[in-house]
Amino acid sequence: MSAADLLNLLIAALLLAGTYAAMSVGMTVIYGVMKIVNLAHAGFMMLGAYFVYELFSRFRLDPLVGVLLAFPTFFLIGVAVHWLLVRWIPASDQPTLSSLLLMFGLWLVLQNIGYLVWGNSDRSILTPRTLLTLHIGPINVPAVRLVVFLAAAGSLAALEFALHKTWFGRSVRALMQNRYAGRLVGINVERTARLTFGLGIAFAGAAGGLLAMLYSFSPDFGRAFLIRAFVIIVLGGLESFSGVAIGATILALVETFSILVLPAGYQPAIAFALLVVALVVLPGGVASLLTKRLRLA
Amino acid sequence: MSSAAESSGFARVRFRGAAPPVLLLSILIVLPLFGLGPNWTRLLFVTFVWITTSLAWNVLGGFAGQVSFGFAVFYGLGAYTAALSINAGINPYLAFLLAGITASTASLLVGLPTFRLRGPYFAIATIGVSEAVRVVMTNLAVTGGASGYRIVEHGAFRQIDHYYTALGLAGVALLVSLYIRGSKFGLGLIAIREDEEAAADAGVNPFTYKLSAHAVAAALTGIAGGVFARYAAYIHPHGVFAFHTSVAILLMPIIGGIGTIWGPVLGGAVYGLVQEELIANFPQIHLLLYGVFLILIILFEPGGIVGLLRKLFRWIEKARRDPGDHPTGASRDQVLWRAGRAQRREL
Amino acid sequence: MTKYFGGLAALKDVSFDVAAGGIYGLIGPNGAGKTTLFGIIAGSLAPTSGTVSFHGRDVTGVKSFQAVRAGIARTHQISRPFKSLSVLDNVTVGIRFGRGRVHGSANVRREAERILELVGLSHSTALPASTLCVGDQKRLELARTLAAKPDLLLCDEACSGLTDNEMVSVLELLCRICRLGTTVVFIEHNLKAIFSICDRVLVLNFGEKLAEGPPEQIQNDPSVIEAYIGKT
Repeated sequence: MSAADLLNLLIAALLLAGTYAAMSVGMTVIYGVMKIVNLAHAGFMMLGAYFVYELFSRFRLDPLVGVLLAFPTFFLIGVAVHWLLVRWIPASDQPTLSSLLLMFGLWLVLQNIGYLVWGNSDRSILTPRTLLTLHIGPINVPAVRLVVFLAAAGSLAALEFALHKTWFGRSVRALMQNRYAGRLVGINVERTARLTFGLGIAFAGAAGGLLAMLYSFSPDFGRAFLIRAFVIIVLGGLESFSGVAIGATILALVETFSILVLPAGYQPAIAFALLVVALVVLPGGVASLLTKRLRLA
Repeated sequence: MSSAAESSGFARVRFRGAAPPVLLLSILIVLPLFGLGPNWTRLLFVTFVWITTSLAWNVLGGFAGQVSFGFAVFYGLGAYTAALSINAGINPYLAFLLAGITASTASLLVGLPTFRLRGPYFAIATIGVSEAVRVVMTNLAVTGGASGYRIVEHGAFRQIDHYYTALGLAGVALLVSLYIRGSKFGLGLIAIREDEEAAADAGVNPFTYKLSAHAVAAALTGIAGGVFARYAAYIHPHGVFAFHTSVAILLMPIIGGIGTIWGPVLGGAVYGLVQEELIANFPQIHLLLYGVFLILIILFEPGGIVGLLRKLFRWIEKARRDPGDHPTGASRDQVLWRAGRAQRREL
Repeated sequence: MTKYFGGLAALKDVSFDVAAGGIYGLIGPNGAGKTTLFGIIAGSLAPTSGTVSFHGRDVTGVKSFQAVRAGIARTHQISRPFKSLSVLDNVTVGIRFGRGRVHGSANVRREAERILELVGLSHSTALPASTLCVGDQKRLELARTLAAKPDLLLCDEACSGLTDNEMVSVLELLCRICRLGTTVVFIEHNLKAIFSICDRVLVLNFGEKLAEGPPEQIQNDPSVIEAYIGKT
C-alpha cells in the first residue's frame, strides 16, 4: 500500500462522508423535533433514487437537477404523509414503539410501491460523468463522487443557514431542545412538526437521488443505508448536526479502510457491527437516549 | 371478557378456557388420518412453524415489551445447527434440541449488549445484529455461503412426520406461553413492559428477566428453524437469515394481537394459510398489505385481531343488556373502554 | 440504621442518620435534591461519592431491585402504576417480588386484598390501574411498595395533588404503617402535614443540608424560614 493509495482511500472516505451526512440529516431533524425514529426514511430514499432516475431516463435531465427538484417534491410528499398518518401518533418526549412500527409499516408500503412500479431489477444512472476520473497529482477522484460530495455539502450548508438564520429554523432548534417550552413561547408546534417532517423527507429523497448517482439500486435499496444513517446519528449524539458530520466521517473512514483487512463481502456488516458497538460502547455520547435524565427534586 | 379480567387471572388457574383449543388440537391431530393431501399438509406444516415463532416472539415482544426486529438470527442459527447436525448423523430430534440450545446461547450474546437500550433503540440494534449475522453467513464458506446448504437424510421422506413434529412444537410453544403468562416470571415480564424502572423499584430484576425471556423465545424460534430446515432440506442465508423473515416473525403476533396468547396463534395461522394464497395470486402486493395492516393496527387497534374481537364481544354484551337498566354497569364498561383507549395510546 | 451520603451535583455532602422506627420528613424548596436523595438510597441512582449503609451493611450503588431485597422501597413523585394490569395485580407484583414469603396463589391474593384494604382501595381491585384517579394511584403505589415488606419506606410527595381530606387519610395511613414496624421517610411540600406527624425533619436547600431536628426546632429555625419565604 503506497502513500498515494492511502491518500486516495482517505479522499474517497471523506467524499463518502459528505454523502452519508446528507443522508442522515433527514432522520436527525425528524427525530430531534418529534422523537420519531423514521424507518420509512429508507423508503423515501429509494423513491428519491427512482425519481431522479426517471427524470434522467425519460427527460434526459441531469441527475443533479433531478436532485434539486427532489427537494421540493419530497418536501410536499413529507408534509402530506405527516398530515395523513404521522400526526395521529401521540406526541412524546421519548421515542415510542408505536411511532417506530408505524414508520415501519409505511416503509413496507413504500417498498411495495417500488416493486409494483419498477420491478425488482437493479437500475443505475450512467452519465458521462460516471466514468470520468479526475487526476490531481497522485490523487484519482471519480468525478461523480466529487460532484455528489459538493451537492451534499451544499445542501448541508443550506440547512445550517436555514436553521440559524430563519425563524423556522429557530423554531426547529427550540423544539429539538424542549418541545413543551417551545409551545409556551408561542411556537406552533404542530405546524413546525409538519414542516420539519417535510424537510426530513425532502432530504431523504434528495439523498436517495445523490446515492443513486453512485450505486445501483432496487426497491430494497434503502435498508443498508438506513442502518448506516442510524450508526451515524448514534455516533454523533442523535440530536446535533455537527454530530452527524462526525459520525458520517467515522463511518466512512472505517468502511473505506476496512478493505485493507476484511474481504469485500463482509463490508456491509461493518455498519451493522458499528451500530451495535456505537449503541453499547458509547453511553457517554449518547447518554440522553440510553438513560432517563436525572430528575432533580 | 375484558382486559382487566384477563390480567387478574395471574394468581388463578393457568389453563382456563381450555376447551376450545383442546378441541382444535384434537381435530388437527386426527385430520391427516382422513387424508389431507400433500398440499394441505405442507400448508399446515408451515402454519405450525409460524405459530411457534409467533408465540415465541410474543414472549419477548408481547409479554416483556421488547420488540425485536432480528429474530431471523435465531431462526437461521437453528436451521443451520439442525442441518449441520443431521448431516453429521445426529438424530433429527436431538438436532432440533441442539438448534434450540444454539439459538438460546446466541440470544444471550445478543441480549447482553442490546438490552441496555430501550424501545426503538433496542429494535434498531436487533436489526443491526441480524443483518450482520446474515452477511457473515453469506460469506462463510464452511456452511455453503450464499449458495446455501443441503441436508442429506437417509430414509424415505414422510411428510406426515414433519406435520406432527411441527404440530407438537406449536403445542409446546402454546403450553410454554400459557405457563409463563400465569407465572411469577410472566408477571415480572409484564411489569417490565409497563414500566421497567418502576418494575425494578418494585423488586423485579429487569436484566435477568429480559435475558431469560429472550432465551426462551430464541430457543423456540431456533427449534422452529430446525424443524423447517429438515423439511425443506435446503436452506440459504437470504431465506432463513433474511430481514423479511424477521419482519414476518414480528408481524404475525402484532397483527394477531401482541401480548395475548391467541393473538400470535391467529396471526401465525392467518399468515401461514394466507401467505400461500397471496404469493400465488397477488405476489406483487403482499408487502403493501402487511404495511397497511400494520399502519391500521397502530393507528386504530393496537390490540390486533384479538383486540378487535374483544371489543366486538364487549359491544355485543353491552347491546344485549337493556340500556338504562344498569347505569353503574354501563358506566363501568365505559370506564373499561376508556381504559382500553388509554392503553392504546401507549404501545 | 445509619446512613451517610456524599456529593452529587444535586447533593453536596449531605449526611444524616435515620434511626429505626419513626417517621422522618424531608423538606426543601424545589430543586433542593430531595428526590435525588431518595433515588440514591433506593438504588435508582448511584452517588458520585459517599456511602449508604443500611442495617450495618454498605448498600451504596446497589440496583433498585436489590435495594428492595435489602428492605428499602420507594414510591415515586409522579405515580407509576403498571397501567394495563389490574389494581390487584399491581399489588401482586409487589408481593411476589418483595421480601414477604407469601406462597400459593390463594395466599398471594389474600395478602394483596389485605394491603389494598389497608390503603383504602378495596373497591377497585379489578379495575385496570390506568383508570384510577391521581389520589388512588398514589395509594396504589403505596400499596405496591408496602407489599414488598420494606423496613424503610421512602415516600415521595405522598400528598401532592390531593384534597385536604385525602391528605389526612394518607397521613393516617403513614402513621399506621409506621406503627406496624416500617420506618418512613417522606418528602412533602405541605409543612403542616410534615410537622404534624414527623419525629424528625431534614431540610435540604440547593443540595445541601440546611437543618435537621425535631419539628419544633425546625419550625423556629431562621434559616429554614428564610428559605421558605413566599412558600405555603
